[in-house]
Amino acid sequence: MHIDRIPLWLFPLVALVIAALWFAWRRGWLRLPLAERELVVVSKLLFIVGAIMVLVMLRNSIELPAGQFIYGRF
Amino acid sequence: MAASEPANATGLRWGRIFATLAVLALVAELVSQGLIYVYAGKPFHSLSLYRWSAYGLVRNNPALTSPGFEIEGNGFRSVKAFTKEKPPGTVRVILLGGSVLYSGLAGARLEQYGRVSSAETIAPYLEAMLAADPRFAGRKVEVINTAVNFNRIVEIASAYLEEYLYWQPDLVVVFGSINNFYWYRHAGDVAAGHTPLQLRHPFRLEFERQVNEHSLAAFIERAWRTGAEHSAALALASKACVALADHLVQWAQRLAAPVMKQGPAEPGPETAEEGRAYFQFYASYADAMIAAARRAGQDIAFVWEPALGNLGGLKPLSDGEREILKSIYSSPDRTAQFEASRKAFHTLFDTAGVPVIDPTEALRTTPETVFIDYVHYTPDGNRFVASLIYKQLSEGLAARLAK
Repeated sequence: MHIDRIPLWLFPLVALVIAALWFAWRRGWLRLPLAERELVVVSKLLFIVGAIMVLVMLRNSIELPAGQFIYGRF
Repeated sequence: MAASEPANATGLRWGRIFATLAVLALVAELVSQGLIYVYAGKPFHSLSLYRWSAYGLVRNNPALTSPGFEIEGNGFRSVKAFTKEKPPGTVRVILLGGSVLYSGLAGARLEQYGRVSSAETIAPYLEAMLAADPRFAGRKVEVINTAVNFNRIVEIASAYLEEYLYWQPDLVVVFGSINNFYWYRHAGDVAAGHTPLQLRHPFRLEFERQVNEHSLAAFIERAWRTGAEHSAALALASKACVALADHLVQWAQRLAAPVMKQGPAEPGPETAEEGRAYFQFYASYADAMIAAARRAGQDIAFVWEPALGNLGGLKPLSDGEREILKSIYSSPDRTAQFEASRKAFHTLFDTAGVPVIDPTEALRTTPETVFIDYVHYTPDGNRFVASLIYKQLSEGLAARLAK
């Protein structure tokens, strides 16, 4: 397998790890040095950064649909 | 909740919040570095396939971290390095072209071959054949693969005239015909500027957006991409974002298709006159390359790249090729237009006294698997094309050196 293609199993794996960490935190098995509100702030910051990037890339994809010109992707 | 850090008026301990973000970034970076090492078998340098070039738009990125695509320092797809200065006693052949020469891959392909490695492209096979030839004994043979995916004659001519002419090749072999002649042209396309040679190259669109555009979105993208050259986590996230955005747009288009207004009926094929006018675009670039090669005292030859879907039953197909053919849209009109371009290609170079290597005829008697997808080759297919080049051009090359 080659790295220029994101392996499909990576997405469920990441989702699984996040879900497991959340579950462990809710059950009290995982103790974080943050209060719940602080954790929400961290999540919001990550969400905003991720959303900005997806929006920028979405703009590119709409302007320049991949299709047969997939080679146009850097 | 630890109480060692005083909370501010909002009750939030910002020090801890930023420390958490820093730890998360560090963990993401370490995991990403590990993932890339597992895939590529080497540490992360870059996941960018290309870098900008002043001539010919882009070059392959030498820093690309990839198990199959090894790129040497000059951007050539090769497992060994080359220098611009030709070492004394060296026979140098430069191959110019697009993805067929690069050995790229399309979506529908024979998966059992994996990715064709940098040691299995046409160049190393041709180099081995020339090196084993007693006529070149005592000389060092170099066959350089300068291919970049999706190169048309526009990019190839520009790269040759501005850069590779000065690499002092004894022989220049020009591939990349497929990117000029594969896409079907309709009536009116030439006048409307909608042909592959008249449209702006997709890399050019990326270039305009990333380099010349000064919007906030372009600034964010540049910042992100710069970070991705230094961070494995950002590089992976960038790839994931591009893939996600592309899929979202494709899904949206598929969902919207039933309610979208249908476009006008597709016009018929281009006329013979339009076909000739289109071929003139190609010929003007080819003429410039031939003139420059002759002026520089370099031999030059052109390669026609056949397409599996346009062979019209000429090649005895292997089981794998028969399977790929099912996913290729083809029609008698497309095949006829492609064949007309092939004939014009031969006429142009025959008239100019320039050798043409055309695997089409040899494919008639080649039942083995040559195509890995609609147009690219398997390692054996690359060896097959290298042998055709060797058979046709080695004698002229030897005669040139004997002078």
